[in-house]
Amino acid sequence: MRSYARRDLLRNPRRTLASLVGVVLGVGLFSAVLFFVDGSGASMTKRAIAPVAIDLQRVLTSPLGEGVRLQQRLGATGPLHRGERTRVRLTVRNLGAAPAHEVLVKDRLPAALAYVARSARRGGRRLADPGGESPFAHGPGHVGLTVGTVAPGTTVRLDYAVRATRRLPGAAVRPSATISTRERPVPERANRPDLVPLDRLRDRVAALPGIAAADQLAFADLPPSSLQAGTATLDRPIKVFGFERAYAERYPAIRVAAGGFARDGALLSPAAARGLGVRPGDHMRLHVPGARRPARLAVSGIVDLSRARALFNSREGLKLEDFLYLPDAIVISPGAFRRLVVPAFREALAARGTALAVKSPPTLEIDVRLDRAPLAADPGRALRQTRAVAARVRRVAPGQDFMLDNLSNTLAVAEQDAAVAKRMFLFLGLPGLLLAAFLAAYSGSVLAASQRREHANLRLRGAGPRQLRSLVAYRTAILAGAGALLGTAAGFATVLAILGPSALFEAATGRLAVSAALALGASLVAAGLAMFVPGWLALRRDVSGERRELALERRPTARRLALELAALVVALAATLFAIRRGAFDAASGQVSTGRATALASHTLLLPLGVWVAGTLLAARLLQRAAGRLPVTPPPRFGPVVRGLLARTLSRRSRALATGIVGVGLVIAFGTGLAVFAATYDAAKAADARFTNGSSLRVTPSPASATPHPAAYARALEVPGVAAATPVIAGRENAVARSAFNSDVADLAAIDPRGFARTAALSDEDFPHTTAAAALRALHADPTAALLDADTADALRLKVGDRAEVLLARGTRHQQLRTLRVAGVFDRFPGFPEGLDVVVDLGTFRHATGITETDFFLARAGDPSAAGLGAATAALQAGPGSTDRLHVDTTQTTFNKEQSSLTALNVRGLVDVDSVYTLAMTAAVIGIFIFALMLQRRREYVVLRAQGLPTRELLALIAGEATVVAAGGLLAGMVVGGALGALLVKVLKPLFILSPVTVLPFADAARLATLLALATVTCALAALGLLRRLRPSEVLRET
Amino acid sequence: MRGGLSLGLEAVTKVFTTDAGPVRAIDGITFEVAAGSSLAITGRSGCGKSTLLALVGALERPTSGRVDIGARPVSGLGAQARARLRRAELGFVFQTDNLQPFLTALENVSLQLALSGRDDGSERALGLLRTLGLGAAAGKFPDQLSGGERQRVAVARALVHEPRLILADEPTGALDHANALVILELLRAAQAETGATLVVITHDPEVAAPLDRRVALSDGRVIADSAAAAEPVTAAGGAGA
Repeated sequence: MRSYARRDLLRNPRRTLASLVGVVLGVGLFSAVLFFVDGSGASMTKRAIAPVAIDLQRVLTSPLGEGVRLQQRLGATGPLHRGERTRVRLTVRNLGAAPAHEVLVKDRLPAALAYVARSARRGGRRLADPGGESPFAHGPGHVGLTVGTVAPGTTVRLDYAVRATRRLPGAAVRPSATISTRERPVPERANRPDLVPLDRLRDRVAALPGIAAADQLAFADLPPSSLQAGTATLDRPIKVFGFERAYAERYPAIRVAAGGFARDGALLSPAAARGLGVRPGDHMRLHVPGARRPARLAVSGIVDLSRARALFNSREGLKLEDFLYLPDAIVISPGAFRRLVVPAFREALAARGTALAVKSPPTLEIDVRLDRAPLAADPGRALRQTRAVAARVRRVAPGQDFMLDNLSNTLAVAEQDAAVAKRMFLFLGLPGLLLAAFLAAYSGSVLAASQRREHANLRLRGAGPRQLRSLVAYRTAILAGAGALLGTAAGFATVLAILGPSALFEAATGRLAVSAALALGASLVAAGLAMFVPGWLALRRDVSGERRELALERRPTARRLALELAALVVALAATLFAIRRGAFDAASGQVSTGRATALASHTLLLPLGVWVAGTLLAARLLQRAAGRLPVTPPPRFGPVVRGLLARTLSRRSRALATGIVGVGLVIAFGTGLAVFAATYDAAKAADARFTNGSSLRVTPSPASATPHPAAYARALEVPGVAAATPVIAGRENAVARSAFNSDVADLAAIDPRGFARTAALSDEDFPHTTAAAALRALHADPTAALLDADTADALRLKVGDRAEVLLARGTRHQQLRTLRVAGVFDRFPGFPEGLDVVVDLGTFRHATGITETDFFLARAGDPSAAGLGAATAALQAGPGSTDRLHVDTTQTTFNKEQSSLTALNVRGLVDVDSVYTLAMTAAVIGIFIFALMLQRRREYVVLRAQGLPTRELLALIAGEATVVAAGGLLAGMVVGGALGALLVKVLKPLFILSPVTVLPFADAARLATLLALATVTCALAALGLLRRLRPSEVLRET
Repeated sequence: MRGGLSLGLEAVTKVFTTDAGPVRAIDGITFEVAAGSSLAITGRSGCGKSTLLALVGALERPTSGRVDIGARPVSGLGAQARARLRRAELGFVFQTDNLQPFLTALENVSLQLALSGRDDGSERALGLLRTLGLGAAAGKFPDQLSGGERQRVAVARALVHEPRLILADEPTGALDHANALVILELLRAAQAETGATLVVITHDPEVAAPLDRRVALSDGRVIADSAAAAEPVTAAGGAGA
């Protein structure tokens, strides 16, 4: 039987090919998706960590010195026997320059030790036992002992007795006490090692394996008037940084615009240099609170820090990673910082007598850059690597700092995104497996039908059921095995072509092997079963059963229709339920903000349900329609071809429905993907425009000497730029106040008319009004302001109410104004991280006198990549030739601001799917026509013998194929449109703005054209077969 | 009555190419059949009967030699012309009914009328079925009919367009004796009524006996011809009756 099966397949190449092609394409699609997930997932790590400014930070908790310190000693040095007593001695020392307030010592004993009642003493004096418990751990919360204020240089001694409740080896008794103060509320364990100086800590960390570099960074906020040069005083707060030249080289966003680093010199930010009127070579004076006299420093250079996230990203928990930029800054060496700033702050604390007198002490930290090259491509594995490195870093001189592991935090988000991506991609690949199974079952049933006669002959010759089953099994194994192998190879080749070798082979070989094994295994099972079952069932049927199967479809389709209708209703009901439960409203993610994309995986099943049930229902409806096709009433037959076609379609509608289901499933999948891809592209472009503010965002360099008033926007309207508008904006640059509340706010001042012409506004962002109406309201009233909905809620303000707004907060220009709330917005273009207040630029300028614009939004005439490139080039060649301008386009923003999930090559995946959709469309039509030729060969031979010309026979076959193609196209387009819309809804969390479903008519036309071409091509191939059809076959009855 | 068509074969040879080499299925046969007569071609299985029928039925072209149907030489005709000839002038009855399974009995019959360009709305097809005792089965599909009924429908299909040459390939081969006699009687009656020429392939002497003439084949050659005495038949290769 094995040999028979092999020969049968080899000697019937057309039949073998028809059976193989569907399996190969389906498996190809499924395996391609698996390989694609590997290939593109592998780039997630690289993409996710690219924007991370500092990999690891070790920030000193006591930057000004040792502070309070707790020593714990146990009286016994050896093992403790059960019941044996010993004393625990606790010593609190304040080694700092300032008093430590509300010092709290806590010692919660391990289970093997028990407190001895009335044994606690402070400086030899007995302490009370609260509630009969240890004063160092009493009550349900194990509250510790409040020591109170500990003055600098003083020591507090505490001790108490313990009793062992069981035998304890000496080494098992470890310090368990902690100390905390008002100044440092995080409890610190007793006996922490001596502080390691920052430069030694840096050297030890830098020497660890996996570390590329470690640098010292120190910075402090200084009040206005801290910098002077000659008679000029900088009346704004400034930031003083201490870092080496190497640090600046490591972080390229620190750009030295003039001069350079010098041992005793200082670099100034452009704004500070302008404010003081100094240039490199000049001198200035730096006043640090607590210093006896100002430090005289030479200006060694000008440094642009406006994009240095490493320096200005917040280190505070609630605002972690917020870019809190201060335009006035001075950079000195770490040594100078230690010499000039740290002692002065220490003095200031000591002189004022309370640590709270200095609002924020200096920050001293080690910024660590990991060696990123060995990091695994997979975010999960990379996360384990970075965590291992972080643990090594943490073990170096612990206890004196806290560590921020930015890289691991980012990778943790990327890992979640990667998991979501895999689920999403597998969902997009699952139809491939289903189609493979469908095509295998389809070609399997065709094969089974065509082999009935052969099997009958074998039976006549004495072949038993077991032998025939073996024959079907061998044939299935060979076809499914070859199909799975060829399909997996095709999938690999497709991904190689679309992603390129570099991206694909970035995935670990093991992972690719697992995918290949999964593709082979799943395909073998799915395609094998789909092929074997029809053949097996055909063997089980007796002659009457076969006749029943071959009999015309005369049963009503109502029962089947009801079943598929019910399935569709269930899928739609589940969708509605999911919508009502907000399953599609998950938050969108962004690695840079530490948010993973939340995607409810179960919702991915809904489009799948709609796809299958919708296509089946549509095919069934078309089957019913075909069953009612009018035929010429007897005794006339009517035109031969039309009469035959109408009768075969209406009376053998099951074959028609199977064909329509096949074409419909493929077309629906292709259309759904096309809808999703078009919507995805449009939505990502809209997101990028929203994030950027418009198609172009032009930011003058802080180092530029050119003034940038609002009127400068006109200079930016170069060829390729349709409109430009000025924006003044900043973080925490305002205070908004109502009768109920007051809060620091982020404010932007815009020219409403110019903004309306230029910015990427969406009515969706302005509840109860339109974007145009909101901007008109802002323009109409100089006292108008637009408020973010959350800010309005926090201040309990509604449209028409008045609020006080402090403009240009923290500068000498700050002004309090009463403004009327003219509108509320949910989001504002150009401010993806949020904005609280928007005011008219004229009003702002008039109130504060500030004329310098922070950035300009510009709209390119041609939003394509080429148009953006041309506009950028024109800007750089025009105003940018004399003035340093930084131009962000939607393209650059898209690359920078995306979540790691959307960073995935979704378009590439859609391309993979499209390739297979197109091929499968042709395959389904091909199999349908081939099935006709195989199953109806006898009928065609008889018709030819009766005198039906070949071309009319071809018209009959082509007519049937055309009806299947048209029906499948119609069903597929309708279901595909719904599938695409649902897919967009499910994948909504990928986008910032709500995506608007785009119907890609060009893609739909391409699919329809390809289907038509496939039908014509297959019909032409059928013509070749028909020409070889010998009418004399009708005379052979064997 | 349209009358029958004469049949003429002259040194007709048909060679098939197989894996084992060329096979000479018909080997230089020459004979003539008068219009309106009936002929039985007999012989054992594999002797070339069906191939001969394919040649005289314009289903195949001979490798060499000449086949004339009426005055028309069909051996040189192209596929389209032969198809035209078949649908207009020839009627086939096959060993099995070979009815189109998706057409009713009446439609199977009226399809042949439509093919011959005579689908004029007349009751001819139904009338013929009634004549054959199938009036009640006209609206039934082949799988709803018995074997004998199906073959009678096949006869009706072969006769409905009044062919001038009726070709039957083992028409009773799949039937029981009673049905076989009925079918044979139907064919002879139709021939008598229309004056058509009737050629029947059979291996059954009982079927061949009532026909005007009997030609026996072996290995692609004529080995016996009942008309040889009255009307000499030239059989290539020297075989004569």
